[in-house]
Amino acid sequence: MAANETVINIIGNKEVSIDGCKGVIDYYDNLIKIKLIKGAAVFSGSALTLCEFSDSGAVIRGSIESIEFVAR
Amino acid sequence: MIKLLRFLLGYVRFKIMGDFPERLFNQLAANRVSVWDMNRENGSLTACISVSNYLKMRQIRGKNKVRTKVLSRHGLPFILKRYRLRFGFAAGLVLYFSLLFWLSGFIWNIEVVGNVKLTEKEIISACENLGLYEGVWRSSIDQELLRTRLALNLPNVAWASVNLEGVKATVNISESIDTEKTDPSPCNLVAKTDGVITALRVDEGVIKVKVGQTVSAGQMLVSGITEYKDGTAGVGRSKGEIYARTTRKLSCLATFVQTEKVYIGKPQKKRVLSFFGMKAPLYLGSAKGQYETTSRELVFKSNGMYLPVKIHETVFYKTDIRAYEISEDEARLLSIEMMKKLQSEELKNAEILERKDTFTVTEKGVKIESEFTLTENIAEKELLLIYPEN
Repeated sequence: MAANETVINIIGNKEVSIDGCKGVIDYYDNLIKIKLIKGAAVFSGSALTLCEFSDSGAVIRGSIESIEFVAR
Repeated sequence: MIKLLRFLLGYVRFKIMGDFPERLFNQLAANRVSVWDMNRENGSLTACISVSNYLKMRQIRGKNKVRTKVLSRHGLPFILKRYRLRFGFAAGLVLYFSLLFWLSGFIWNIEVVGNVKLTEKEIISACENLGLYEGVWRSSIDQELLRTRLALNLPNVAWASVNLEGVKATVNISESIDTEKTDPSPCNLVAKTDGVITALRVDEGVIKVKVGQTVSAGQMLVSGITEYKDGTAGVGRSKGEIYARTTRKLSCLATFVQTEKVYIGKPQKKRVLSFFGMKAPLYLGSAKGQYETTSRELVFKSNGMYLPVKIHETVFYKTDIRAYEISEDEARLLSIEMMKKLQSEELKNAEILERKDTFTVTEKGVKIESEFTLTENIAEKELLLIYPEN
């Protein structure tokens, strides 16, 4: 795996850990949009919370219904 | 683990108010400041951040035109700040843990396990001589020395060991099995007193007397020398019991002037506090004169263990000797009592067939002379001395 790629680990539909994120674009209860190394990812669901957020990665918990990758 | 670390270092929960609060998070991430537990509440974002990073965040937020407000404070630094003026509490806490740690270094109890004939007191006394006693510092105990020397210092102990469990020392003892010790030296059996033989019970040796025979003191009853038909002789140990009818005389004097011990004054209680083997008297002054004492020990028990705090209580009863006179009849009765006691001591292994008492009144008192006819074992060992032929 290349070092300049984002790595996303999903545990069921309850938790997602993201290694290699560049920032938060949108943050709502039912939608969190994260800027990745290349592009962005939109996490939709309910009761979503950003449990951890730092320069190296982030952890999202909640009831995740969909993950969508967008260009920006 | 991370939660514990965050608690120890302290953190705050804060609210971000303004447009595009997400930008602040991105700025924080770019400055290597991590946040956690982000939530959206009533249109604003809340999150947690460590105390040290919150100060850094205050510098960053200005550039993003957002406002932050601390909602709550958590962690050890805030707890300590709340109680910073309570020196006594902190000092008490430190003293408590120091005392607990220090007291745990001593031996509080010694338990003895496995003893049958030996008393606990004897074993504990032997342990004391080898450096193990209540109140001793744990690290000063030489378990190896105790293990090797305890069995040597105590009689009839085959094996001994000491286990230290916390503040308790357990002394394990295994006593050796007694086997009858027989003296293999060759001997004869001779009469210890004059008498008429009534019964013979001989296990080893050559019988030299018969039932009905009169013997005198020192006469050989059973010989250790066996003569064989071929003219040779063997030497062995004689063993057995020879019963004879004998007479014995005992006498005692009951004087007209008797003495008795009387108790005078009030009993005095004196207590000594024992703490970890150190003794401190809880009284002033000492008892003078003649006294009789009774002692008891008050111990404190908790959860099946004895605490190393004891109170030794001794009660002193002052006594005096009082002389008084008795009549002739009283002296006679007293002499009979005295003879009874003497008889049970001197003739305990004999069967009394007949007893004749004679009373004589003297200046000092009444003398009783008793003549006993007994059946007793009159055999006693006499070592056989073998001299080489020149």
